[in-house]
Amino acid sequence: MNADRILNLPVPWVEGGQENPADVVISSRVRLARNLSRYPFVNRSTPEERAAVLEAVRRAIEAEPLFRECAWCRLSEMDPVSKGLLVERRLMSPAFLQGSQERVLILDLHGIISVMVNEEDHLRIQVLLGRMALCEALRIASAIDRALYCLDFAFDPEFGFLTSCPTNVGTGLRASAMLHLPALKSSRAIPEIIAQSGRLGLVVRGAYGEGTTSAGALYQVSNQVTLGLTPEELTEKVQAVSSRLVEQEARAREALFNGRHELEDRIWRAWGTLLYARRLGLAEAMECLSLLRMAQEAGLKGPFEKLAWGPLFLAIQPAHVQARKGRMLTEEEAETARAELVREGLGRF
Amino acid sequence: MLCERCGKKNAEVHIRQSIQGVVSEHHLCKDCARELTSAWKPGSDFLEFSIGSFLENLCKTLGPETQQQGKATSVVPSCPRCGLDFEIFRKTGRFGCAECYQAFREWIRPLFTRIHGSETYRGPVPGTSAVHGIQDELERLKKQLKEAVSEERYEMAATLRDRIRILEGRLPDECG
Repeated sequence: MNADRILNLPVPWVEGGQENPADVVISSRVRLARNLSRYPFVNRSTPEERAAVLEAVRRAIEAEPLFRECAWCRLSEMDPVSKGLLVERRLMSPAFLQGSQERVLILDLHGIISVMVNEEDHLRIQVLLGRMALCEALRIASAIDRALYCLDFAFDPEFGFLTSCPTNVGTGLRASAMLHLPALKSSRAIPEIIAQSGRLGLVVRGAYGEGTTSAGALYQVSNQVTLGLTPEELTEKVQAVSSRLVEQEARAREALFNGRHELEDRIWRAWGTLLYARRLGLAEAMECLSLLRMAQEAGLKGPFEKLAWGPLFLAIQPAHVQARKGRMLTEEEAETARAELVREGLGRF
Repeated sequence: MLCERCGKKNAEVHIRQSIQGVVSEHHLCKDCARELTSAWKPGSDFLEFSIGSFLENLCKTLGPETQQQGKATSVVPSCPRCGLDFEIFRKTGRFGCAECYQAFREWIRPLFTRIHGSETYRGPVPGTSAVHGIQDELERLKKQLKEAVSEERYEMAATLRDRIRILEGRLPDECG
């Protein structure tokens, strides 16, 4: 799979609906960690054993109608930009980039399902959807899981599905929602939210960049605990906390919009920056897009009303900038290219 | 969630650490966080705190418990299938294969309680081989229960009875 082909694949999680292009909950993701009982876990296996895992998975997947339209991406045969594109589209983990020859990403061509083979666990099954759709994502992931039971997953009646790391044992499930929380971020409420969610067995962290200073005000809520609760209970917990954050964000925005002139000024400046800047760093571009998304959600009138956040958000990411230019870029070149791409993107409106 | 260092208090300090591009997360109670931060000296690596070291801290407390249960603690178990030594598991925080869970079973239950607040799985059961697994496990537990009662280890017997109840409850509901 090369960069051009990846760029043409749909990315449902960023595209959003036609009627309401912006929403506080951007995407929902469910991931299941599974291992084949017959083979040692990836960290203790030989290349031959990992190849045997891959072959068993290939046979199971080829027989499974759910995977009729999918591509096999052998990581050792891909260039760095193509791999970067897949990470930025959140179809595989950054950790998957380093490692053995026998790593393969199985990619659903609709951009919803991806399966990492020979990551930390033999299988990491992921379902990624736009908006709050955790229950649906879990339903799809569970259907894939059941379809692959023929692989004889490592399972223990007491501990559940067995994983390489004890923090994943049990359900092997990580349910996460990505939220856009600019008002909570600027009200400095995030550290308290992080502490509260920790007490509930959940984690809130910056989806891009470090912890409480997430670039673009994007945060990820996910379950930390995987044992003792059913997959449905864990998913509901993440959903409940996400809903509460959406409410808190709405209240914080009301307060923020009280000082309307100041906020409007920031929004229009962001619009101006995207429209006219000749060099754009990633963090600055993400901040501008965050403000414009908030303006859309608040129904603010202006030329940014019809801005398609998703495609622009992807276009400004480092590997996407390089892929569009078709070569590796220095930091300065990348900033110039990013500004060009944004101007091109906005020129359509 | 409990503090990953002491395993006793609620984790209220959440740290995301990135060393040469490798990102790790830690969840600590205020006291442990304060202790680790005050131990930090300029020029040294940020908090000396890999998942391995946190498991090591947790596992250090496992010895006396198993001694009370009459198990030999002088022999550190290793996995008969992949050969992973419990010491290595403590350092790396990674199991080597499915069999490791069986080999270290008694040692890892308290660890799971500290990480997850529970040591018993709830959720779907994959296919018939797992049903057989439950039946085998039930037989094993019932045998252990008998032994515990005859040796008058009543606390252990109560724990085993709870575990048996959970597994028996699961059979007709989810697999019947």
